[in-house]
Amino acid sequence: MKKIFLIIFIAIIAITTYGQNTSLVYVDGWVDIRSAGELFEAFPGDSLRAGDSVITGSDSYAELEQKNLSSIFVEPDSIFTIREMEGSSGKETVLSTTVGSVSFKFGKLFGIEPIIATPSMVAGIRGTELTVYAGEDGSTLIAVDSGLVTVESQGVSVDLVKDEGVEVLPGEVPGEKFSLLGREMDFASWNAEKYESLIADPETGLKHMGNQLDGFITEIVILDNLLTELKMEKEYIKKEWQKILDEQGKEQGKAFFNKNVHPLDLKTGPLFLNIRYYSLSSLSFRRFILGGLYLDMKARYIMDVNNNEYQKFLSMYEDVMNSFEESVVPFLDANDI
Amino acid sequence: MKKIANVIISIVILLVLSSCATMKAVPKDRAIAKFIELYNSGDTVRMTEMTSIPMLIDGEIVARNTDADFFWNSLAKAGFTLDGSESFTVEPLGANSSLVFGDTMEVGTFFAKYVPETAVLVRVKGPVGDFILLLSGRKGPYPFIFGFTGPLL
Amino acid sequence: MYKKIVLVLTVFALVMIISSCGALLGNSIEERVQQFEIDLNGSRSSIIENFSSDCGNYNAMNIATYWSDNTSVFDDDYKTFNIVIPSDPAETFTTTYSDNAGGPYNIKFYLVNEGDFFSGDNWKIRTIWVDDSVQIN
Repeated sequence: MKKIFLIIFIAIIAITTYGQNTSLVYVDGWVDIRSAGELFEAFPGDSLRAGDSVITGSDSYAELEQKNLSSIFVEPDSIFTIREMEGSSGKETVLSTTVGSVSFKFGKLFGIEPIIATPSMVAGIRGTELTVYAGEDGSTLIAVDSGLVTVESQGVSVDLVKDEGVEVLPGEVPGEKFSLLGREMDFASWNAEKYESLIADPETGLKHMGNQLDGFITEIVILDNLLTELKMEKEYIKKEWQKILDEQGKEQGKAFFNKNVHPLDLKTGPLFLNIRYYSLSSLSFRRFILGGLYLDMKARYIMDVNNNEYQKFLSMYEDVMNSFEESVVPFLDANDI
Repeated sequence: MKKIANVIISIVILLVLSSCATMKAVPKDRAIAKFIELYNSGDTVRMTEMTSIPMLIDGEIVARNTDADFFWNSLAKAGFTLDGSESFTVEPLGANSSLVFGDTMEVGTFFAKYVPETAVLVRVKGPVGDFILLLSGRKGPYPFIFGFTGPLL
Repeated sequence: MYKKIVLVLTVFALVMIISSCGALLGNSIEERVQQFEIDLNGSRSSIIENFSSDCGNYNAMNIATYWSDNTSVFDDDYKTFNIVIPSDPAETFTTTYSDNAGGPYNIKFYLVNEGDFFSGDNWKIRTIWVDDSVQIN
């Protein structure tokens, strides 16, 4: 009897978990999934949708699997998000580490390889094992165990092969690549070192972060301009279509619409979704990197709020936030918060 | 004998009820005073436990327990305490309450989405001016904190 | 007696689990596409529920402006949409749709079954191609 119950139970579990693309296969300690603004405790078997984030605490760890072909290891104190955007060769999966340390071991999982991203860089990969360290100051360190990785930031690319690494500061081009041989990578001490220098000179750090946010905003503005142009063109052609409808009848109108308006309709949707990609990336950056610095500064100066350095920081921070409000917020809504 | 049994059952029921956590209860003055006492005790572990995530600090949404923990620890390290003389004022949530934290879409959405209607704004003195605690619900003797801002200008 | 109580409780628990999982809310492929069409022509406030959580654009398209503005290929101005739904469609199928402005256009759907033992089939849209261009993925 007990055996039957056990079999039914296993069958139910198997049935309820089949068909999931990205799932958590191992969780150690308390791990959260952030989905549509809500936080849920993560459990093995949970599936992730694009846009969801896996958030580990100081003593927790998570492993994800995609279609059983790739493994993603999210180390403590990390935020990892899967996103998707329209690239030059169609839809591209972007594996984004906002903060913390995440290792990847890829099989042939997406047809086209995913893009690895942090707030300060994007990397194309080919058959690769690599670790991404995203510091709380917005910096990135990439260490390649195998395969080829092309790291790109601010329009400059660096190719990395086995046992090579590179550091990218927020809003800057990639630094000099270096050999990982004989070098023990330790995210905690790297991150602590980066954060110490950030806090020693928060104004410069904030300036770099502002540049990084500007990078996202530039993409949003370019795409938004394109979208606005397309929509204007569409509205203009729609007026002509209306005229043809009135003067020449439904069939002529339909033919005109299919030929002239519909091709524009096919372009606006994907363009808008790309704007959303950059808006959501900006929101992550604002929430976890900029917000983290703000909280730290607030606590440090709470007994000395009139301190000149602090006031200067607040004024700069306000400027950065104003850009965010102006350029990013129009593409966000309550579901994102 | 029956009386003793009744008393024990009542105690058990009370204990069970008092250990239940709810986000939707208007905090009473006594609970607010206890919360301020908890903050001033420097028990940051308990403070993090009593923090509703996401939490609002000024216009910033804190989405991770780790960040809330870091914030409470940093405040404690800075020697920041609140006036424990129970001279705080309590204001129920109003249409413009969110403006105390900031006039942004994020703050407005935070209030609409995460702050229960039972929440209150507690104005309490700090070493460098008045601060606002956004409190609601209850777990044991303490309310949960949903927001913190100040010093008020 | 004890066995009877266990049996009754087990049946009760199963009924509760099944009802809480929305067993009656399952959808076949045909029903899902029909529902999508209804939502396109309606308020669109719940249209996102027709899509699989595995859609790469799920969060990106979970915003009212995408559906209510003249942004998506299914422009609000072109109501009414009419999708030709074949009988017993496969999980990937190509058909046509038209709206009050033009068409017919080729539309290809790829659906995934997110149902489970309790809920039964619950097909959701994973990808939509219009005239070979990926619109939702």
